[in-house]
Amino acid sequence: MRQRVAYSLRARLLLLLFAAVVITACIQSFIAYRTALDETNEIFDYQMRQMALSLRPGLNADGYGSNGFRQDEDESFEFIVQVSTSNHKLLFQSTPGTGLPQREDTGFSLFEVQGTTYKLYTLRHGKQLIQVAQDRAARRTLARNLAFRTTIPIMVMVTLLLFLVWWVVTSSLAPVNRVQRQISTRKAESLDEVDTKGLPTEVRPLVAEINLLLRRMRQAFEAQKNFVADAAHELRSPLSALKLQVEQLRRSGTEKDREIAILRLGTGIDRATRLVEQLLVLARQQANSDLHSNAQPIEINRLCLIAFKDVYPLAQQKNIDMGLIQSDECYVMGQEEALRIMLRNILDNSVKYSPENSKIDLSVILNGRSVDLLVEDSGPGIPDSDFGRVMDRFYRIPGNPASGSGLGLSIVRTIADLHAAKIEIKKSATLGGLAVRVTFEAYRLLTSPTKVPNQPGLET
Amino acid sequence: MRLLLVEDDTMIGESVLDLLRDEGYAVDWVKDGDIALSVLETEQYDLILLDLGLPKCDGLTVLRTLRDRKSQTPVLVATARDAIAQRIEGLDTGADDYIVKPYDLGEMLARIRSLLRRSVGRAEPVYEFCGVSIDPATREVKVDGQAVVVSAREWAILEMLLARPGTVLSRKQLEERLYSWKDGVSSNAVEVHIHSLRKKIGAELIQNVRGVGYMVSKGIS
Repeated sequence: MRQRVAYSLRARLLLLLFAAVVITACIQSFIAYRTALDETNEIFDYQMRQMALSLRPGLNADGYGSNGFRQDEDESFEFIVQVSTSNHKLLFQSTPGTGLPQREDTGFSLFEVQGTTYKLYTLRHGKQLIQVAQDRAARRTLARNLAFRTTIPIMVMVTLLLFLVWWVVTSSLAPVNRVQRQISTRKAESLDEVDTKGLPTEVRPLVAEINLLLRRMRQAFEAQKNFVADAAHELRSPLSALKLQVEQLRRSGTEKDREIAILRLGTGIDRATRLVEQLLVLARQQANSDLHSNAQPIEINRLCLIAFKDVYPLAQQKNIDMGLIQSDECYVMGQEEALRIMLRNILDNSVKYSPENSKIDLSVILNGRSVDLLVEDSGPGIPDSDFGRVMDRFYRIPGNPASGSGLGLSIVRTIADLHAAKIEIKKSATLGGLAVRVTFEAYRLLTSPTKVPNQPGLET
Repeated sequence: MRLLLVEDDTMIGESVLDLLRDEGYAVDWVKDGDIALSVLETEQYDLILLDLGLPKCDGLTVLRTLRDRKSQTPVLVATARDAIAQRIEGLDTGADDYIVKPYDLGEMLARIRSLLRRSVGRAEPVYEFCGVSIDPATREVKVDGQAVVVSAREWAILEMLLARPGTVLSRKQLEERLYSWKDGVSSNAVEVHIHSLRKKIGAELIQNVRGVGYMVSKGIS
């Protein structure tokens, strides 16, 4: 398997931009060179033609150069000029010894003499044949030099452009490098946020996300720390009580003292047992992540009725008026055992924290596609500031005398999360105490089961 | 000796209350920080047994407020919060000692005795004065080497007087430290106990300072 090579954005940008600049420059130079070459050719041709044309009036039809062409010039001319009559009689030759072929066809052509290729221009003027030739190699060298000179500014500009690209890329990515340094040099356990000052808008969302993640991690760490501290307190308190109760039993002298001590020890053991059970339920439900493998349609109103009947005797002991207000027939996908535990915990909580002679209402409401389980009580409720914390593990309403494990609503939340249900805890509008609403997605049975009449009231 | 127990856990509270009372301490029990602070404003205690995880006003706040009021009362923090940082914070806030739940009752009682001893400026575990020695750990009273049996209240009075010889304690002070809220105090209860004590350990040790109170005189030899 080929491993993906990590690349640097800066290196990649530089490489691609450099390549683009260089390729563009090459193409441009090539085009400029070619154009310059063609233009030079044309100019040279034009020169040759002009030269030939300008020789027309200067010579007689039958005489040698009267205008004093210096024929003994020793320099090697790049141009060779020759004028002859139509019957091949040479009238003028600029470079003696280098005869040009007297061709009939006019215009441009090539010929070779003494290993040198010449470009020839032939012009017929009356009876005269005017010919101008130019050494093609010299002509080419000149043209190339000229064309090459036109590309020099491009080369200079390219160098400048490359430097500019490097500078722009490096300085644009500087804030990213700064963030990278800031992150790489921090302490491993540091969860401080990264400074977003001066960051470009493209990178800012990324850093903001990282900061969000850091903040969430910090919160999670804090929650964990709180949990450990709370757990220490909550697990030790029942043990402290047991230890003291045993000590009391050991020290009790009279039969009456002993009876009191044994009674207290019994309640202490009950409390510790309840705590352990709740902890186990919580741990089991938290580990229970594969809902979908064993979820089935649960008739939630029937389950509510069962939970209701379970809790009713406890409510009666405190003379609490507990009623089932509404019980729509509906189904949710889920695990029966988990949902039963959840319902039991919500109802237990209500009964536990409601004073004597208060009221508790339970409703199962089918709202189109969702199912609401609503438990309301007329108890003392909880302070507004604590609504956010009430489902935390070991949270307990301040000053509440009831000795719960503090895990009930944590269990409720865990099970609700497992079923993708929403929990809402607020002040009850009708009864004034606490209202716990769990909203599930309703499950529609494809084939309607045997029609069950609406659940009658509670039979006790 | 009068103790204030600040503990929100009912089960722990009732057990500790009974056990401390069995030890002869006069104990009052409050269940939250607010009440603890208001009680401490009016009442005098020899020691406070403080839980940290309290409703309404947590234990550290109680401690801080108490020390802000310049109270010298020894505070023994008894809590389930055992992290080193928490212990340090507790002690630095003004606690005199720190004990982690679940604690051993014997250890807690020993710590209470040690704090009470130190609070009256003593280091030796057995108080001895003019041939009378008392041992707070075993509650033994000896007069010239002979063990004497005294009642719990008599013991408490003797302990208070012997702890600081030369200090005069008024009848009211003795009463306050002898009885918790639940005890009904008869008007001459202190006199009755002192009378009984004098019979057991000799009349000359405890002196009556007329109109002021009682003391164990330093001058006697």
